[in-house]
Amino acid sequence: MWSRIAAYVRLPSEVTDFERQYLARMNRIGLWFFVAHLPVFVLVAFFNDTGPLSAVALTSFVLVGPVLAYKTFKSPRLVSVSYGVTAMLMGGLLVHFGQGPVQIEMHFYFFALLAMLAMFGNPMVIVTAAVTVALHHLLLWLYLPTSVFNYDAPIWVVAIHAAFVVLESVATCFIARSFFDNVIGLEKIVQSRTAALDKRNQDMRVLLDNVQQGFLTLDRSGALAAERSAAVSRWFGGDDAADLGDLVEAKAPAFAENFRVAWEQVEEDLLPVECNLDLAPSRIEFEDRTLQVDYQPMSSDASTDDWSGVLVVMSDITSQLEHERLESEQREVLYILDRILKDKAGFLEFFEEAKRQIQLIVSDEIEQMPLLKRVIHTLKGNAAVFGIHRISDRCHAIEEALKEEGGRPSAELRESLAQAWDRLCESLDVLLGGEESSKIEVDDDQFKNVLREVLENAPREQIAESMVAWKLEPTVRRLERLASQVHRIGARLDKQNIAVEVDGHGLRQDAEAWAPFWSSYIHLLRNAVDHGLESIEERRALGKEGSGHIRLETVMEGDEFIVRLTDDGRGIDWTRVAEKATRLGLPTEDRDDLVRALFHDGLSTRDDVTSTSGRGVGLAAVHEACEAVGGQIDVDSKIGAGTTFVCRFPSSALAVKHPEVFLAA
Amino acid sequence: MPSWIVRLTFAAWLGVSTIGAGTLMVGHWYTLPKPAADDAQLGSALEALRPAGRDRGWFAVHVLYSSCPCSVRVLDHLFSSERPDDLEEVVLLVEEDDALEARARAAGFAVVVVTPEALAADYRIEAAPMMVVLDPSDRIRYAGGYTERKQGADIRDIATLRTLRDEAARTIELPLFGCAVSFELQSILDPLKLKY
Repeated sequence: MWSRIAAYVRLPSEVTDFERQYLARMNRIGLWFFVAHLPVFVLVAFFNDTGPLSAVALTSFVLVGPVLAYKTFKSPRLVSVSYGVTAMLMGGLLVHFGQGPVQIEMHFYFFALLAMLAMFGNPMVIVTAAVTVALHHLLLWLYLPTSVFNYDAPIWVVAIHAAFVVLESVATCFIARSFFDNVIGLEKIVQSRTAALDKRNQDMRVLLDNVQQGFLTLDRSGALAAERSAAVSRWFGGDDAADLGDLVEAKAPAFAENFRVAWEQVEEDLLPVECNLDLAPSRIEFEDRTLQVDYQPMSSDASTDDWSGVLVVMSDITSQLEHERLESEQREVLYILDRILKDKAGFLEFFEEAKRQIQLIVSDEIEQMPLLKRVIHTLKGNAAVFGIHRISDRCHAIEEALKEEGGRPSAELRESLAQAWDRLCESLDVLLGGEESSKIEVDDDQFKNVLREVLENAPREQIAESMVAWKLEPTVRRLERLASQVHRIGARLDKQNIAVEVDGHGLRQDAEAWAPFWSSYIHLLRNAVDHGLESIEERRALGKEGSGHIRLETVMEGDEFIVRLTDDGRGIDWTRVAEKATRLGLPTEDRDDLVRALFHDGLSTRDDVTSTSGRGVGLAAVHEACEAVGGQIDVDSKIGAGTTFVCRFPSSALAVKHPEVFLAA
Repeated sequence: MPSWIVRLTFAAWLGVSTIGAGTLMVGHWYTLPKPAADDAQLGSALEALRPAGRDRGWFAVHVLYSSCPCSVRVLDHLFSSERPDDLEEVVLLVEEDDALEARARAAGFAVVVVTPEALAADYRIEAAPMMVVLDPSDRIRYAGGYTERKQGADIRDIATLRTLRDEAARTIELPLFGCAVSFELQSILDPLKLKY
């Protein structure tokens, strides 16, 4: 307890500038206060006939101490302490010179001065004064024991007398210490708090300097705060940027522009700030880096919903995206592997056709833009069918660029496509084993049939034709391949459970020769699912059952080989076809004109373009592919009843070529 | 100025001031001695002061010290207050003071001047102002101060006399506030000779 009392009475050793200035002023005032006692005491002595000259001498002597302290003591606190002694001595003089009717009242001086000493904000001054008085009494008691017991006063009177002094001293010490802690020591408190704040800021700076994310804040006007994480400066520099737009302008101008537009909405404050911030761009792409940008409104007052600024968090997701890309490609490879296991020939055929198309696109050999668009569109569709999104996505990006910017595909986009293809080939080489496409698969029946013909000494030509048939592919396999894509495309377009009926009628064809046709045929299928079949809700409203029905068939009708696709969807809006055709300057006189317009490059009944269809390229591609193998395409459609696309080929198109031809090939 | 000189000077100041103030206070705090009421020498000495030629009545002796401000205040009171007709009063003035003597006589008081040494030796009195009251039988009924409190404005000489006369068995004691008169007492209370 004593140590706590001592610590309370004794001030911290450090004297702040503020305290030094304050004590210098108070000590100066105190000194003048004591000096002023001299004339007062002379007057008191004069009126009480207690010796004015004696008052001059004794008061002057008492003033020696404080003057000496004031002039020579370096510590202002020590000067104040000397005033504690001086105050009590002056009290003694006053009582002495004030002998008269008010002599008792002169003792109040001691209590008044004890209280006044609190202004020095130093309990030690009060303690010194109290000790001076106590020492005084002790000395007198030792000298004349009865003197302390004033005029035969009993001990309890002396105790009460002392108690008042102690009580006031304790209270005054408390006031002085409180005054020091809360007023004189305020500077120290501020310094302490500032130091703590600096430490905190330093910790925060270390955090901001080492965190990998970009942190910055904007106030309500969009102004950037000076404090931000080092990652932001590392990425964008621009420490003097006024706002986020300025900061990223040099590296990501598109983001800067979009952000400024979004921030205008924030400033208009028509919607909740969260809604407005949702409209702000969330990705910054520059150099080889991609940043995810998140916005978080900040509030300085947790009790209100009002926001005072926005915290912007930038996360470098380049590695994450690369990882996702690799994962996606890995999934693609697995998917392709599954497709290869199920339909190796079909995939190989796609692969060869896609390789050719990639070569055409990347080399920029095709001069005619419509043809180039068809190749790109066909490649996109077939890649999507086989789940190779890295190719279909890049084709889509090229189509978007051609639509928005016109001209030809940029070297950057073509290079991107080439790289994606190369990476795919690297993966597929392992799966396909290099020359896989040159192998012929023979099923058991085909093998037994040829073996039987050999054993039965069948004509060589017959055996040769049977063996050539090994290279032929049942058309039903093609149709089944397409059918499987109907479900996949339907799932993507929220048209699940489409019923697909396939019938090849036992026909076969040369897979290689027909590959370009079937490659393009996917467009008819995508159009049927996307344009033809209504949504489930629409069908329900129209009284149609299920999610839709598609029939795929190959059939010989007379001397024609027919490939037919029928859906029970909404049918073609010929009026709209006519409108679109008119806009393109195409004739619309009769049905044939409209059918021709339908297969014309760039005509689509859709106003919006999706990743699936809507560009008016697909049907033109099918039309061209059909004609390439000597066929014609026709369409029959009724509003609300459905559409049938019919590709007609002469039967000779299916005829097996002479074995020598295969040998030559 | 070298710091040791400063410290030494300050310490000297502190010591001298404390002691000096202490000695000043002693004079105020010390209980001034009163003579014992049954002191035969005091009784006979006071009896000798009683004026001759009058019937013995109540007799008051005012021991006043001309150098003592408290004594002067009491004198002023005596001169300005209405004195009882049947009371015999004598001012025993310590040390000569012609002006006081003249005023006392003008006010009807008999004045006897004594030296401090004679006061201590003959009357056994060492401090003033003090009132000693003898009843008609010359028995000392009261020997003490004039006020209940130090430097009190209420000088209770008349009231004390009235009480003593009205209540025969009553004893009254008022503290003695004032100055040391004897040299012995003065040297004790004021060793530095600041007051006396």
